[in-house]
Amino acid sequence: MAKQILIVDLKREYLDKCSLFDCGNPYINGFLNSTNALNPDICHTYLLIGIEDQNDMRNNNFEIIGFFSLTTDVVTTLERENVVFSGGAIRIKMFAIDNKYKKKKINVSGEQITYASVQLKICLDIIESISNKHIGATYIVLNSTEEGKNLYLNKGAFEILDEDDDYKVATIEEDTDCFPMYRQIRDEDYY
Amino acid sequence: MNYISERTTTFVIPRKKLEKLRNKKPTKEYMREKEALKKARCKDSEFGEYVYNITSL
Repeated sequence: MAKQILIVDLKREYLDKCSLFDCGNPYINGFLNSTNALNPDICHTYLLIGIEDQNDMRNNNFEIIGFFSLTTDVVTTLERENVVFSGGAIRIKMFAIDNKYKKKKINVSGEQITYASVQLKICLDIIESISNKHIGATYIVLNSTEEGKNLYLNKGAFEILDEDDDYKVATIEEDTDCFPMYRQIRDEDYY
Repeated sequence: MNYISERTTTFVIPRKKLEKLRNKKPTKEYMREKEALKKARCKDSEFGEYVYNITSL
């Protein structure tokens, strides 16, 4: 039973743990086990892990609960039919929870919260920290699946870019569903 | 569980929608969970900034 959860950067030495991760989607599982997840030209990958005590971490005795990968992006807007820069963005490129932890809740300071919501809140916190300390950015963007949509809307305060909005979509795979979503990085006014 | 689509999107968002974002207030539930995580954060852990005390249910 995990007593602590923590975020660690994905490292090569954790790849044996990654091979046990199963979110139910071969593409996402494959990504975590590929060199892309470790490639700083592509993204930075964070693992959410659970431990009973700190010795577990020292002894490499832990399980991956979920992971997410971040990269950079840009949000533009239309002005007199020209696409103009609106703000820098951080893209949640990957976000997945292992099937074992899907819909499971944990007690966090008296609140019962699902692992997915916990991981999302930590992910948003890390993004805000990156933006405050390292690179200035205004927005967070992602492409959700149908099953992930409610998590981002209800637990992440994201907006859906409606189909009738003027946005451009370039697809890699035609048969996948896709809900482009966005939000500001900061919940409150920073200034 | 897969939460992210395999598609890639270039975001072109109408200006009025971006302006609307500035006035958006997060829900009470969102803020409650955010606060709970803040409280559960374990300071001075040797494993970095993002360590949280939890109880499995």
